[in-house]
Amino acid sequence: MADQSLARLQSHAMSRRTFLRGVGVTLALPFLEAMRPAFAAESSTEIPRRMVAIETNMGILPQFFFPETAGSEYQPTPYLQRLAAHRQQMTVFSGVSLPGVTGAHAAERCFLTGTPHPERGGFRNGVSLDQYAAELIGHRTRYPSLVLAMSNENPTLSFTRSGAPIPAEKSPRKLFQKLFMQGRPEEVEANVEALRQGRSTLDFVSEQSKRLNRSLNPADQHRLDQYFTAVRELEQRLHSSQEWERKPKPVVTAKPPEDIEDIRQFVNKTRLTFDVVKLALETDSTRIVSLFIDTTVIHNITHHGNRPEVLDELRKHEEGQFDVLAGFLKSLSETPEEGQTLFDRTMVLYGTCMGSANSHSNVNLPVLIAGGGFKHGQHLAFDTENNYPLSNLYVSMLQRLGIETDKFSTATGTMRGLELA
Amino acid sequence: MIKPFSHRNCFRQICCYLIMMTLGSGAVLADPMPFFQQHCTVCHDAGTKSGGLDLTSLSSDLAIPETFSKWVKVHDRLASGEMPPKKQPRPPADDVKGLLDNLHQSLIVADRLRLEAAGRTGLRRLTRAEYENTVRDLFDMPGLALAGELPADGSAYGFDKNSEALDISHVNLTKYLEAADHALDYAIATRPDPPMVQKRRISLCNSGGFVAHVVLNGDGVLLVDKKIDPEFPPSGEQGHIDEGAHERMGTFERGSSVGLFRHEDESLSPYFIDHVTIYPGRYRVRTSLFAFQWDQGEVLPARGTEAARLSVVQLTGDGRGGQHPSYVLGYFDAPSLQSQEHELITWLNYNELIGFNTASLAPQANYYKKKRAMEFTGPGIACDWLDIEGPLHDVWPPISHRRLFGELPLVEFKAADNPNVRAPQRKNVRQLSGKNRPDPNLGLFTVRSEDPMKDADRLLAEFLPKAFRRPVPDTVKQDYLAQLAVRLQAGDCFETAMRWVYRAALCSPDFLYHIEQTGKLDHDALACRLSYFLWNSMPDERLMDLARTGELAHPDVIDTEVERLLNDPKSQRFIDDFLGQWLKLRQIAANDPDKKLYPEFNPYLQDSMVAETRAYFRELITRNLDASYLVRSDFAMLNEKLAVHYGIQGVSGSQIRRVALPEGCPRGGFITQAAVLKVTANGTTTSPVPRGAFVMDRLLGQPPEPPPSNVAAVEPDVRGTTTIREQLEKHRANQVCASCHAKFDPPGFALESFDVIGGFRTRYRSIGDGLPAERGGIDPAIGISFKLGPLVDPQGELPDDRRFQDILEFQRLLATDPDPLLRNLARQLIVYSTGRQVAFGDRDEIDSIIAKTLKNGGGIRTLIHEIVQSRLFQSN
Amino acid sequence: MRNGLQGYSFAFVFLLVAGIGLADEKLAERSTLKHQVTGLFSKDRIPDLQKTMQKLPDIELVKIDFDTSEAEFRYDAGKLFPNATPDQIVEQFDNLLRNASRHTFGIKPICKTPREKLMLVEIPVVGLDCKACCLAAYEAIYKLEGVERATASFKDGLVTAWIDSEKTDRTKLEAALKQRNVTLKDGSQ
Repeated sequence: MADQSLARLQSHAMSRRTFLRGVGVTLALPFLEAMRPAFAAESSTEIPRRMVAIETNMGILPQFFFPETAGSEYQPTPYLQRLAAHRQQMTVFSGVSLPGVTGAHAAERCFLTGTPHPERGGFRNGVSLDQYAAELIGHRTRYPSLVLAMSNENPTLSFTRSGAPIPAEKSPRKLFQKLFMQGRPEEVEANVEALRQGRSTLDFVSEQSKRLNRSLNPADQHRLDQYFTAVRELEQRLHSSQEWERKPKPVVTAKPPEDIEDIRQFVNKTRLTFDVVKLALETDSTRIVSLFIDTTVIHNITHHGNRPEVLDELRKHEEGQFDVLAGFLKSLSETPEEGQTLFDRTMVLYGTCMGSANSHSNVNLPVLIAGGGFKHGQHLAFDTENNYPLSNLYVSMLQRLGIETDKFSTATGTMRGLELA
Repeated sequence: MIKPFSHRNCFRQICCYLIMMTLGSGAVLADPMPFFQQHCTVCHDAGTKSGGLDLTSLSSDLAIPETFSKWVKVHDRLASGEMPPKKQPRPPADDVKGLLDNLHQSLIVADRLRLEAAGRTGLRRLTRAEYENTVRDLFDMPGLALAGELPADGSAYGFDKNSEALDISHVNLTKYLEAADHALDYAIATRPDPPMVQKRRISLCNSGGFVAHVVLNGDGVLLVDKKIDPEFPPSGEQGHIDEGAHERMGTFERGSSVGLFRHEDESLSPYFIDHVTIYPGRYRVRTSLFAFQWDQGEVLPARGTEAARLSVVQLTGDGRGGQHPSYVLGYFDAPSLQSQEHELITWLNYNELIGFNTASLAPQANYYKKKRAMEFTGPGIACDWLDIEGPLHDVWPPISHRRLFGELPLVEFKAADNPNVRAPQRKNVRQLSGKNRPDPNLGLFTVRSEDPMKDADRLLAEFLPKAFRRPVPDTVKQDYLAQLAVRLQAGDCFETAMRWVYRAALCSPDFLYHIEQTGKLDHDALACRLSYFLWNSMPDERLMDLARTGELAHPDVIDTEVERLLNDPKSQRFIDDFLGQWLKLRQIAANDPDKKLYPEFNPYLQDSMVAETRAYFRELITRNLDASYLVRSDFAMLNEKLAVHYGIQGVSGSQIRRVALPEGCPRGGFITQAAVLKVTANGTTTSPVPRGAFVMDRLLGQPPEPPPSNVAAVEPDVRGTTTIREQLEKHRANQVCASCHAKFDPPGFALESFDVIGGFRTRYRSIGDGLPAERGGIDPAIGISFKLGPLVDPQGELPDDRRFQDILEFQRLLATDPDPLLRNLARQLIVYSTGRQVAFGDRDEIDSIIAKTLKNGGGIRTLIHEIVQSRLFQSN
Repeated sequence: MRNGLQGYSFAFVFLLVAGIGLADEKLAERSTLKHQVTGLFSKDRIPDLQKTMQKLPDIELVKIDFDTSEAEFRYDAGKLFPNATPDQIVEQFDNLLRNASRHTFGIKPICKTPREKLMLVEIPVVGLDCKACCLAAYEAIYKLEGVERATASFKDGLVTAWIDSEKTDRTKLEAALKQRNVTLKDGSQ
C-alpha cells in the first residue's frame, strides 16, 4: 500500500517537472493557483502539505507557558497570549518528552531525532524527522528540504540516516539568494558543468572505494559502506540539482533581506528568517524546513537561580520570541492557496529540548504545534510524572504529509488526542 | 552487514569451563545462579531491580555488546568488593574467586572471538583536525583554514578518534570536494615570479579605523618619546573634531606611538587595517610595545608589565565594522616606559589582518566623561608601530606548487598557442580593505608540459604515496592517469586536468581514511599511527623513509622517533587535541561567567587558563614526571594573570613559565587548574556532582553511573541562602542515591573551594545578602558588587572511609595512590592513539604497560614510550 | 658699398625686431597669475603649502599674501590647461591642488567683492590646539556662500571670516561651526 501511493506521488512529481521544463516560464505568485488547473485530471487529493520544525535550544520558562487546565477552555498563559490570534489553529502540549533523551544541552541535537542518551560515549544520532520526510517527498520541489539555523555557531536540527549532522544555512540573505536569484546563463552552464564533473569525480572515487573494499575485513567493509552510500547519495543529489539548474527560479517582489550580524538581536534575526521561510513555502521551493534557534547568547540568564530580575529579563526575551512566531503564523494565515491558506497546509512545530533550562531537565517539554490540517484549539495535557512520548507527534506529522508509517524513532503510534482535519 | 556469530551457547560455555575447573580445582560453582540467588537476587531480581540490574533475566549471549558490558560490570563490581554492598554479609571468598575466574575466562573468550571477526580499531576516516593538519603538512601551508567548514565529528568514549564517532554522509563529501578545491586554489602558483615582498610600518591609528576614532575622544593618546605628542593634545573638556580631517592632515602618520586605555568591546575592534592580505603565505610581524600610567595629562611609570594581545582577524562580508571572526596569535609584554620589540612569523590567508587588544587592562571608557582623558587616571598600553613584511617565500614556485607540478616551467598561456584548449580558471578575490596593493597583473600563467601523460605519471608517482601515506600500486596510479587522459581529451589545459585528478585523490577513501590491517600493523600503518598520535597529522619524510626501509621495525628506532616527534613543535597539536577532549578544554568557552558574580573574568584570563593546562601537560612530558602530578604538584605553569588570580606573588609578564609553589598551595595539578574548574562549572554556579564525576571519570577512570531518569534535578539557588552542598544532602540521605553519590560527591566537595573561574574561596559569592567582599587581586578599576555568602564546606569522606578536611588533604590522599591515575591516563592515551575502546581482553596488556612504566620511574613520557612499544599500539 | 651697409642695417633692425618679438613670446609662455587659495587657515599653513607645491613641479609658487589668502603662481597655462577658459583654469588647478594635498588646499576664483565691502567676523571658540581640529573648524565655514576667506586657531581661540554681509551673517557661521562640533566660547556647542 505504502509503495503504491508513493509511486503514484512520484509520478505526479515527474509530470509537473516535465511541464515546467517545457514551458520554461518564470512563474509569478500565486504559484499553485496557476498550476492547479493543469493537474485537474489527476487525483484532487494531492494537497501540498508542508512542515516547519523549530527548536529554540535554551528552554522556555515553563511557568509562563503551560496552561493550568486541559482541553479547549484553557486560560492562556503570558506566552500563549502572544499567540492568541491563532488559538483555534494551535495545540499546546504538556507532560510530553522524548523518551530517553537526556543530557541537558546535549538533547538539543535530538529534538527531531528522538535518539536516546546523546550524552553517552559512543552515541550515534538517528535520522531527523525532516530528513526522513525529505527522503520520501522531497524530490517534489527544487529543494527537498531547507536546513536552517539562527546562530553564530553551527548547530543543526537535521541529521542523515547514519546520524551525520547536516550543516544549516544561517544567513537569511544567502537563503533568499539561493531561492530566488536566477543564475546567469554562463553561470548556469558553469554550474551544470561543475555538477557533471562532480558526478564523474564521485563515480571515480566510488570505484576506488570498491577496490579498497576488497582488502577489508567484514566489519570494516560495513563501515566503508557508509562512504559508498554517501557518494551515491551525493551523486543522486548532484544529478537532481543538474536538472533543477535548467529550470528558472520563482519570481518574488520582496527584496533580499540584510543580515543582522549581532547575535544578541536573535529575535529580529529570527523574524528575518521566518520572512524568507514564508517565501520559500509560498513559492513551493520546498515543503520541509527545519530551524534551529540558538539563544546561547542568553544561556547565562537561563540559569536564573530564581532571581526575580533575571527571570524578568529572560521572560522579555522569550516573549519577543513568541511575538515573532505569532508574526510568522500570521503571514502564513494571510497567504491564500486554493480556497485555503498556507497556514492550513503547513504544520509548524515549535518547542524546546529542556523542560527547565535552569535545572537542565529534559522532561515536561514546552511544545506546541500549529496549522497544517489538524483539529486544534486545545491543550493536550499528559502525565507530568510519567511523560507521554513526543515522538508520537512526529508520526502524526509524517502521516499528515501523506507518508504512511506508524513508526518513527521511539514513537509507539500517533499522538493521542490529535486528529487530522 | 555484520553477521552476529551465534553465541547462544555462551552460557553453556560458562558451564563447560566450570566443569573443567571442577575437575581441576576444589570447591567451585557449577552454575552462577545459585550464587546469585544466595547473595544477589535479594536486590537484583525482576521486582526490586536495584541499579536497573535483574540477574534472573540477564541474557547469556555475550555477543550482544550491551549484555557483554553488563557482565563486565558484574565481574568488576564483584572483583572490587563493591558488591555485595558493605553492610551485607560477605559470600565465601572461594566462591567469589571461582565465579570471577569463570566469568573472566568467558568474557575473554567472547571478546577474542568478537575481535577476530571485527578487527580492533574500526576503519575510520580522518577527524576534522587530522584532515586539516594533513592537508596543511602535505602542501606546507600551515595556516590554511579548512576545519571550520567540515561538519563536526562526533565523540565516542571521550574522543573523536574512533570509527563510531566518525560518520560520513553526502554532506561530508560535499565539504571535502570544496575543501580540496580551496587547498588547490591556494597551492597552485599562478605567476612565474613570487609576489613582491612588501614591508609596511603601520600605526594602530589607521584610516577609517576604530582606534583613530576613539583616540580623538580620550580613550587613547598619541605619545612621542614616551611623552605627550606636542602636536596632538590629549582630549579633555574638548575632544578632537573630525577624524577625516586628522587623517588628511597626516596626524597618525608621523610615527607617534598610540597609547590605548580602552579594552576591545562591541564598539571597539582595534585592527591594523592598513594591511589586509592579498597574497596568502608566511608573513613576518614585528611590533614594539610599552606600558604607562596616565594621570590626567601626565605620563608616568606603569604599575608593572602589561600584556597586549595580537590576533589574526578574518574579514567577512564587506569587510566593514568590527567583531569579525579571529583567532589569537599570542600575548606580548609591554614593559613600563620601555619599548619591547616582539617578532613572529605567521601564515595569513586572503583578507586576514592583524588585530590588537589591551588584554591586561580592565574595561575602561573615557569618551563620555566630561573631561575625557584629562580626568582619567589609570594604565595604558602603547604600540609604537607594527611592521608587516611578506609574503615570505624561500623558494618559488613554493613547495605547495612543487608538490603538484614538480619543476615544470610556468609559462604564459596564450590562446593562439593552445588551440582547442580551455584556459585555466582564475578566481578573483576582492581585497576588502587595506592600503597595500597587488602587484601588476603579468598575464595568465600556467604550467606547461611537453608530454602530459609522461609528466603526470612522474608527478603522480610522487604525490599519491605521499598523500595516501603508503605505497600505491601501479594500477591505482593508472586509474588516475586514465582520468587525466579523459580530461585532456575534453579540452582542459594541463593544470585544469591535473586539478581534476588531484581533487579526486583528496576525496578518495585512500586519502580520507586510516587504512590499517587486522593483526600486526605494517610499517606504513605504524608510521601513520605514530604521527597521528604525536603530531595529529601525516608522517614527515623521515618517518616515511624509516617505514619504507623497514627500520621502523626496530624498537630502538621507534624509541628515537618517539623522542623526535615529541621534541618537534608539531607535538603541540597532540597536546592541544588530546587535552581538548580528555579534559574537555574544547568546552572552555561554553559559557560566560555571570558578570555580576565574576566581574574579573576576561578573555585574557580564559586564554591563560588554557595555556596553563597545556603547558603543564607539556612539562609533565618533558620532565617525565609521574602520575601523582596529575592531581598534586609543587610547581605550576603560570603567567602574571594566573598568578594574581591564584594569589601567588612574584610573577610578572604574559608568558607562561614554571613557578615553584609555596608550601600549602593547592595549585599545580590538573584538578586545581582554572581551566578544568571552569569546564566543570556552568558560569554561574558550581556543583560537586559534575566536578566529582569529572575527577572520577577523567582522572581515576571510574565513571559514575548516569542518574536514574525519574529523579528530579536539583535546581541551584544562587540567592545565597542555601549552598549546593546543603541542597545535595537530600540526595545523599536517600540510600538508593547514596551508593553512587558516596563515590563522586567527595572530590566535588573538595573542589567546592574553587569558584566557576577557578578562583579560591572560603565563602560563596552571592548577589543577595552577605558580607562585603575584599578586592584581593581584582583590578582596582573593576567594580565589585557581589557579596560573600555562606561558608564553603570542603571536607568529605572517601568510600574507603578516609576523611579529608580540605582540598590539600584530598590531594594528598589521591596522590598517595597514583596507580589508578596512571592506569586511567594510559587508557585515555590508548583510546586516543589507537582509535578504539579498550577491550576486556586488553586489560592484561595494559597491566604490562603499567608495570614496565613503573619499573622505569612511572613517568608520563615513559608511559608514552611503553604505549607505543606495546602490542596494543602496534597491532590492530 | 652704400647699398651693402643699408642692407646690413636693414638686416640688423629686422633681426632686432624679430628678436624682441621672440623674447615677448618666451615671456608669454610662463606667466605669473594670481589665485585665491583655500586652506590657509593659519600662518603655519604657509610652509605646508610650499611643501605641497613641490609635488606640482610645473607650477612655481612665487608669493603668498596671507591676509588676502592670495598667491601668485607662475606656470604655462596653455600647456597645463590647454584650451581652458579662465574659469576652467581655476577649476582644474583646484583639482590638481586638492589631489596633491588630500583636499586640504584648493583654488577658488579671486574675490569679486571689493575689500571695503567685506565684513570681518570674529567668533571666539574653544578647542584643542591641534592643527587638524583647526582644519575641521575652517572646513565648517569656508565653503559657505558669502564667506570669502577664513582663519581658525584654537590656540588663539578664534575663528575669523571675511564675509559678504549680503550673502551671509554671523548666525549662519555659528550654526555651521556648531554642527561640526566646534564649541563656541559662550558655551554653546
